[in-house]
Amino acid sequence: MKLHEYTITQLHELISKKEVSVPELTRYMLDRIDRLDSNLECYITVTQKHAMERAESVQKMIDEGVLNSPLAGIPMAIKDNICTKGIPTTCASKMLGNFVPPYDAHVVKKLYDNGAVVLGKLNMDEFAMGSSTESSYFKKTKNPWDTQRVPGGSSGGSAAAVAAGEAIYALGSDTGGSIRQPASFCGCVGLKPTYGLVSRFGLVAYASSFDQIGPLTKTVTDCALVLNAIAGHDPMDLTSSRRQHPDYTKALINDVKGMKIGIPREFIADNVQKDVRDAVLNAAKVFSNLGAECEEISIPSMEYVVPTYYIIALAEASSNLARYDGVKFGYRAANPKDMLDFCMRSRSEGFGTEVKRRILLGTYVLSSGYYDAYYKKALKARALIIRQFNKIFEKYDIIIGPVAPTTAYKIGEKINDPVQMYMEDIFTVPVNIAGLPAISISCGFDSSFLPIGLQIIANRFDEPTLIRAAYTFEQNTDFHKAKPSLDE
Amino acid sequence: MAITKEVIEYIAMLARLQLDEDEENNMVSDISRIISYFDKLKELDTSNIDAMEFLSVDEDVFDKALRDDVIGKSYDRRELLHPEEEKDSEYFTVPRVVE
Repeated sequence: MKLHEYTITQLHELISKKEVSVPELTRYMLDRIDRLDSNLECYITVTQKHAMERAESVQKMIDEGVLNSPLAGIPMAIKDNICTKGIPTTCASKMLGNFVPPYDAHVVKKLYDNGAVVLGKLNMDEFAMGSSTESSYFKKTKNPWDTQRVPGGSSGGSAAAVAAGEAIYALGSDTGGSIRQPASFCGCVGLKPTYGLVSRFGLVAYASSFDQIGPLTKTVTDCALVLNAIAGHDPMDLTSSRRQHPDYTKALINDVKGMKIGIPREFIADNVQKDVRDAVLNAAKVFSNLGAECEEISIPSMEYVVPTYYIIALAEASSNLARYDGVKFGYRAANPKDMLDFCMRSRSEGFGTEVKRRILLGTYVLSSGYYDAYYKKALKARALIIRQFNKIFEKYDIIIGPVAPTTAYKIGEKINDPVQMYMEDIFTVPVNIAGLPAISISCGFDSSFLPIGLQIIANRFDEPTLIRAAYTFEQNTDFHKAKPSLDE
Repeated sequence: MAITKEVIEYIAMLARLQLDEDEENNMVSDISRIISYFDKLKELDTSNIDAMEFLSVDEDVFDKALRDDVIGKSYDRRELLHPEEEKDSEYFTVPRVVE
């Protein structure tokens, strides 16, 4: 086995036994990125020098015995909307092309405390607005399983890098499925934590009441390790929970006996690709055979989740993105006539089409005369959807279903049809609407051998049950062991 | 109301965006389709629901008590200034706003 194929747990052991040094491992990963990334285009910035310096100092701390975190010395990468001090954070936008944050995001600080070695910053849809990573201003990331296809999005660079072994793990962000859907398309593990579990300080805001940072990893065990490191209260984020979080590795238990699982019939309807539906139903069988009780359930308001999500998300986006006026940071238009011209041209030249579309939609639903009909209505629908989930979790421990209606599609196939694109988010957005935790794990392959993701959803702050179910599925199936074959 | 060119121009002004002819035409058709899809929500019965109800389920998420007002460490001014500002600048520069 080659170094890039190892998990966090395995590399931790190798580093502890001194079978590989952190600088060796980091050099190996940087060389691999150098070899593969001109084709896959996962990275916007590769931090060669920073990574090697960091590797040396982490190795020293390990040798001195002052650092023994399982993440110490593990090379990883970060979605480019999470602030990294001194390292450009572009949001894959021309607008932030010159932005170098003066501070680290809370999660980045926590990972540094755990000895993480940052290899670089990963491609994404511009400002996390998209589901295919095609709206990046800089490049189009390819799916490692088939380079003609999209990696999903918006954390497409994160998922593709983990799947291709260009990072041992990555951080992504999930506003409406942006961790889970690319994890599903690229065959890795992607967790969207409960809203409030992980601090959003330093995450460039898209839709603040939905945004959440989470890990993309190769295994559920690795996912629990990274979650342990990044979860927890942060006074810099008003929505950060004060709860003590448990040690998530304690939830790595291979047992689902008696677990009550709901499968919403709306999640396995005709709009789902047959291979995907079959894989999800097969996953239900796996759980049943292991002693769980699976039952069909219903989420009556499923047909309203996409409009509800988009109205609220875009309203918040239009307000969040008002800060890009050319003054404090970001792109500045040249030779402005006056202040209005300066602001308007900086924004118009700095933002891409999808971002403009979303700002306009958000502005429309918040504008006088339409606020009640769209924004306020969507908030009420949000409350209704939350009630329906609350009711389900009175009776069931977890909900399972597909992550996306299809497997990875061809680059360019859907980018020109925004309504179609938005509707593809149907199975992921309800989770953000209700602030729930959910994970994507591999549960099969379609006829073209593209990965299929199983989505497991749990009640708020019940990551332990989520991780337990995902771990049990992984331990009893082999889907996660398959790797894309890359020309090397 | 139908999404016309005038509506797009109006919201573009509110959003401080300038669209060229092509962009504007595309936005009229895309935004019309998306808004009519959003209109589906009108079917949903949401009577007797308070719009702010969604906040109440997460009482443990939102901080109840605001912290005391204490002096913290600030950032270095230079680091916060726009990279295009002059090296010795102490301010953000913008086009003249008063005559």
